[in-house]
Amino acid sequence: MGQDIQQQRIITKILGKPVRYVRSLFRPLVRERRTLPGILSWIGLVMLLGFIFIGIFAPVLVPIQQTNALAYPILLPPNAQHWMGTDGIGRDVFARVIWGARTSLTIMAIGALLALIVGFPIGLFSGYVGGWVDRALVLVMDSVYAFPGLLLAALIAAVIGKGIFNIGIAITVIYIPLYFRVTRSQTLSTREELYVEAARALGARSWTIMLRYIAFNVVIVIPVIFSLSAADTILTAAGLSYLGLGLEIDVPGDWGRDLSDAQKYLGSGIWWTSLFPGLMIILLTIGLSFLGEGLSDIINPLLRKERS
Amino acid sequence: METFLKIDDLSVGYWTRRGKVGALVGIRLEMSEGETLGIVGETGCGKSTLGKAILGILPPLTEIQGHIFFRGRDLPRLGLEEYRRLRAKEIALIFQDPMTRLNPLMRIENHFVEEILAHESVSKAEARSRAREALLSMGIHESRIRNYPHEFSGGMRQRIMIALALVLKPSLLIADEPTTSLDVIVESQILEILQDLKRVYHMSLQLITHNMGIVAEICDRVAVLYAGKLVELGSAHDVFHKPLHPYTQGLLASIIHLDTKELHSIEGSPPDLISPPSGCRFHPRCPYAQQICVEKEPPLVEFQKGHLAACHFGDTFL
Repeated sequence: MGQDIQQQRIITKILGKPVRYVRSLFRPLVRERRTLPGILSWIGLVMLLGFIFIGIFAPVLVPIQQTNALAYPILLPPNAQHWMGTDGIGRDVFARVIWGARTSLTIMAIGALLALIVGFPIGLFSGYVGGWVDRALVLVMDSVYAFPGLLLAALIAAVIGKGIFNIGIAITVIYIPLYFRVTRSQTLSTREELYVEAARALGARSWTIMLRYIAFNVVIVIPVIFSLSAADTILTAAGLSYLGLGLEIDVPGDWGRDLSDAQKYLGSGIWWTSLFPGLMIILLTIGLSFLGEGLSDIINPLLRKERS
Repeated sequence: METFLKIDDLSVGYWTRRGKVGALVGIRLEMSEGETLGIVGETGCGKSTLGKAILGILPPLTEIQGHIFFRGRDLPRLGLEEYRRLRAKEIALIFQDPMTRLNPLMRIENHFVEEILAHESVSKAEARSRAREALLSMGIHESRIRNYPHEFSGGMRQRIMIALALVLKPSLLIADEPTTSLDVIVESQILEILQDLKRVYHMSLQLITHNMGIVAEICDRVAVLYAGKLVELGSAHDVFHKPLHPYTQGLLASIIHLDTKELHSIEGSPPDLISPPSGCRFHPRCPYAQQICVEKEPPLVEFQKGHLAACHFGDTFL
C-alpha cells in the first residue's frame, strides 16, 4: 500500500513537467474550441491523429503482401475488391496509400524532430550569448535558409544515399534554420524580460537563466513551427521521392514515388493511381497546416497578452 | 577599518548608434554600515544605472570605469563567478515594477529554492523551509507558496521580491524605486517593512527614488544626481533645510503639499547625455546661471562638514 503511494509519487514527479506542459497547451485549445482558430486546430489535430492511427495499424489494416509488385492484375480500376484500383505493376493502390502513411509519418518524425533537437538549442544559445557567436551562426543559418530547400535536400540525399533515415536527415538540414530563427528571435525578446534581469540580480547561474528562465518561456512557440514544418516535410519528402532520390524501391508505401510512377498512365485516362497518393499528401499537409495555423493564432495572442 | 562601500570616480557609458551616453560621470560616494542613503533625481539621471553598476548587472558592452569598493573588494574587477556569488548573498537589489520581475512559469517556492541553492549547499527541504519563513515574515501565508506569480497582487509580488532579496541576509540592500508602481497604502507598508528590516538586521539601505517625501522619512543621507553627475551630497537634514545646489532647490520646490496653491517645476527637461551642456550640466535650466557656469565645470566642494555640492555659487545659499 505504502509502496504504491511512493511509486505513484515518483511517477508524478518524473511525468509532472511534461504532463503540465501538455496540459498548459491543451487548456487554451479547449477554451478556444468555438473560435475559428480553435476549430481549425481541432480539425487538424483529428486529421493528424487519424493518419497516425493509420500509420501505426497499417499491418493490421492491410496485409503487406498487397503492396508487392505483381500481387494482382495491373491497372484495375477501383472496384469492390480494390477500392482504389491497382497500379501499373499490379500493386493494390489502397494498400500502398495506407502503408505510405507509415512511411511519411516516420520521415516527418525524424526530419522535424531532429531539426527541433538541433535547431532549438543552437537558437537558444545564439540568442542568449549574442555578440559575434550569434552573428556567425545567423550567417551560416541564413545561407542554408536562402538555399532552395528541395534542391539542398536532393543534394544531401544524393550524397548520403537513399533510405528513410537518410531522407529524414536530408530534410532536417533544411528545417534546422527555421527552428533556429524562431527560437533565436523569441530568445532575444525573452532575454530582455525583467524577470531575467531580476534572476541575474539574485545571483542565478547563467545555465539556470538560460534553461529555467528563457528556454521554458521560448518553448511555447515550438508546437506552431513543429506542425507547420512537419507539413512542409511531407511535401519535401514526397518531392524527393518523386524525383527518384527518396526511398529504396522495396519500401511498402511511398506516396511521392507512387505519384511519380503513376504519371505516365495519366495520359491514357488512368486517374486512380495518381489521385489517391496525391490526395493523401494534400490531406496530411492540410491537417498539419490547420493545426499549425490554428495553434499560432491561439498561442501568439496569449504571448502578447502575457507580455503587456 | 575598511570602508563598507566606496564608489570612486565611477563612470558608466552606454554605446548607442549616435555615440556614447555618459549615464554616470565621475561619481564619488561612500556609505557606511547600517546607513540609509537616498539617491534622488529625475528620470534618466543615472539612478538605476548606479544600482545596477554596483550589482554588476549592466547590459553587456557597457563601459565601466573607476572603482566600486565593497568591503575591500573592487567589484568591477571581480571574476564572473565571484561576482555571481556576491549577488543576493551580500548585495541585493529590489526593482521597481514587481509585476514583471518573477518568472511566470515558476512557482514562488521554486524562485526561493533556486536562489538559495545557487548560493549555499543546503538540502532542498532546508531551502523550502527557509522560503516559507521568509514569506511568512513578509506576511504571505505559507499555503500560497506553491502558487504562480500571476496569482498575486502587485503589493504581494513586491513583498515576495523583498523576501527573495532578503532570504540570504545581505548586508547591503539597494531598493530601486521599490514603491513607484504601487498605491499609497501598499507604499507605506513596504516602507515600513524596509525600516523594520534595517532595525532588525542592521542592514545598509540604498534607496533610489524620485519621491522626496520618502527620502525625508527614512534616509540618513541624500545624494542628488543630475544628468549622470553627483550634484549634492549631505545629511537628509542639511539637504532639506539648506539645499546648496539650485537643482536640489528646484526638486524641493516642486514637492506638492496640502497647502500648495501653485505648482512649481524646473523649466526644461534633462539634457541629452550624448552631448551634455558645457560647464555645469544644469546651467541651461538654472535660474542663477552666469557666464562661468557655461565655461567651467563646478567641482564638488564641501561647503559645510559632510555637505557637498557642485555649484559655483554654493556658498551664497549657505
